[in-house]
Amino acid sequence: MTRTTAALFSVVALCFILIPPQAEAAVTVGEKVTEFSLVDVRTGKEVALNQVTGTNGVALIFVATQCPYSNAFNQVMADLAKEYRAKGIAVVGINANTTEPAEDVKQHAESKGLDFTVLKDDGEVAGQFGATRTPEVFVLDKEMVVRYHGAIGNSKIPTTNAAQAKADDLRPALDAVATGSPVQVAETKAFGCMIKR
Amino acid sequence: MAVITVLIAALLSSALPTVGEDLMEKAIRPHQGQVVVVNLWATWCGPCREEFPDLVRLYKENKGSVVLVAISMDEPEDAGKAQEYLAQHKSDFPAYIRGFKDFDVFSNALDPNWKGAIPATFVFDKSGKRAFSHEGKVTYDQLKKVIARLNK
Repeated sequence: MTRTTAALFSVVALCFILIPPQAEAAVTVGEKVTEFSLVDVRTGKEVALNQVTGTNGVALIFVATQCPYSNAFNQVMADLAKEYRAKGIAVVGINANTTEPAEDVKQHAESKGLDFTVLKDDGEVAGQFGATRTPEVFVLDKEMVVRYHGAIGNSKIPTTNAAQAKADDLRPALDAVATGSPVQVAETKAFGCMIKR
Repeated sequence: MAVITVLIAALLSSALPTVGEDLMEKAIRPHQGQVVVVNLWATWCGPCREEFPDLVRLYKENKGSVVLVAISMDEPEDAGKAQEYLAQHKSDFPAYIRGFKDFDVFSNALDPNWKGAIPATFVFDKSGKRAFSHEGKVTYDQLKKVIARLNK
């Protein structure tokens, strides 16, 4: 075996070690995401990611109607949407639970005051992002690059208590993306309900 | 009446011990020599409730060689509800409720690659080494295979 062949063989072997063939695609921090379109549950119309993104970026939050962890953050999400709309970052909810139809998601968004775009996903976008639970956030900058992935807040002691829910993990990332600064903590662990795909 | 309710709630919650960053020392290592199945569940979690009877069945069929450790991720104040659910399933396996101060430390002890969704099930071999991790609903057959392999 020549040295070149041996080197090539090592690289190929390493690829198999590092990338297990069964691993599901997942976006990572620093990666640019592929454009997608989903149906807005309020209008019933399909919208593309770039249509719902603010001038500085977007916070995509995988949400659920039935998950207590997701529901604990309803008010927090609505407050963030209002506050960061003025700073050029849109908050967008994505419901990827196959057990929760678009009509239920619409009613839930209206009754819980989720005053931001909520999209319905059949699981494809959740698969593309590697999202497995609710609530789980991906913050993208205006170039569609993932700058933060993880929890909305309370990541040290997750809570189902709305009175305790806060955006302490997500807020610094949104502030950084809004001003074009580096995100100091780009990943936190989001605890939550398994997305039913 | 309110005082009695509070007292009952306090009694029920005190019956379910907490586990957190001390997970390995408290809930896994004491069972060295047996296969330990750690299941994270919550009373509000539908898929957790669906898989729970299978876990109990596996434990009962393999008593002596397999221990089931059920950790409720309910809020500590809901310990009574968790206790009630366990009683309905006639649980006689070690059961805890979450009591960690830092979820990162707790989840890393289970498996640093666990993304954070429940239900989640982790199997530790007889020496206490993690041999299997699963996020989402686990099936009876899936776990049975893992247990058979580790009990060889």
